[in-house]
Amino acid sequence: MPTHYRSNGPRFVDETIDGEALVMDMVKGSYYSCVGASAFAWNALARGMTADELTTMLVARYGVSDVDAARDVDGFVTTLLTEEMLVPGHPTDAARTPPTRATLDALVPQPEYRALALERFDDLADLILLDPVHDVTEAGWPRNAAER
Amino acid sequence: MTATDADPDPSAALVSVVVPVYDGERYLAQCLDSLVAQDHPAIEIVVVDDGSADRSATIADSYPEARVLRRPHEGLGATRNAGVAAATGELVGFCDADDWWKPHKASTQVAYLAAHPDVDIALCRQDTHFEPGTDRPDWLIPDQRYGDLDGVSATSGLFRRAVFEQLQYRTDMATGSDFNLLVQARAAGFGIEVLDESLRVRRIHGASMSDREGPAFDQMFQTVREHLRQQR
Repeated sequence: MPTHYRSNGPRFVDETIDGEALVMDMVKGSYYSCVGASAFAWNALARGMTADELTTMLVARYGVSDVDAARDVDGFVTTLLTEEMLVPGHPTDAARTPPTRATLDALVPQPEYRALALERFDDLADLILLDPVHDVTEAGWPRNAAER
Repeated sequence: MTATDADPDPSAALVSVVVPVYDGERYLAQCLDSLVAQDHPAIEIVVVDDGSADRSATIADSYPEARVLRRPHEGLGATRNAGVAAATGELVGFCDADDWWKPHKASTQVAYLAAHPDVDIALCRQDTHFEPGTDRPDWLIPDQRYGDLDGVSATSGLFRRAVFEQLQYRTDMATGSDFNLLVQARAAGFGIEVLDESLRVRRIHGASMSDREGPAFDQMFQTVREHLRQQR
């Protein structure tokens, strides 16, 4: 059975805006960027798609050849596994529901294909690892239910 | 070399502590007591009341050591900026109204900055105090550098004034404005270091504090995304 993947959460958190996926490693403080087809591929793999399914989708969406798409996906998956951003999905995950083409198209509207690539940055690692939340909220300081 | 008026002893630098408070009457006195009790000889306390509906400003007024600014409610970033603008110290720190400083926080960070002219922001470790009946919130995970639950707060920094001559807290972020300021400072070339010693105490007193995957993460992403675009 083909392997499907998922994001290695909660260690890795991600957000895609304007066709760029940003992924933060909350254990090491690194952050990653991928754009266009690479953001499309990250979102597909991080949410349950197999490499074969992604390859088929890249061919359909971008008109790239089967051979090129398969080679790119293989290399991209290897990179994501090396960075520990992806982990294999559970083999008996019967509820696997990878994202649809429409969902991914909405996240990454750019139609141009570029070879799948991931950029890694470490310049903010010490700051990302700081205690991330201790600000007052618009509702004042948080309170116990009994205090309200 | 003997210190002169033109070359003052850096270990005696005036430290301004900005205390932003919004409906924080429950714990404000303990916060202010801890600032009054600092062993550093030159402390200026600036309480900025962000339009509280409770007795926060009245409590602050009862401290002759504190200067109290009353402002309409504008949020944390604007409140901190107002405090910085009113502060006169060469060094500026912050203490949230529900936290407190250990007695040697200011003096330790001042000494560190005096000995490290290349550092502009000295952060420090902290202890965590759980109010009785408070459960550990989901967002509180072990610190990745030290392996415990205490971590290092972005609010813990003692800043050289030069940082605020160039940068301000964002006023459009409900949470994460302190992380944002540190990222701005990093990009601007200011030196940031962490002291291993625990010099402050953060109080955990609510189950409703921002979830790790809630608004704080959204604004971390916003900050990192903006930083990345500026670097390109």
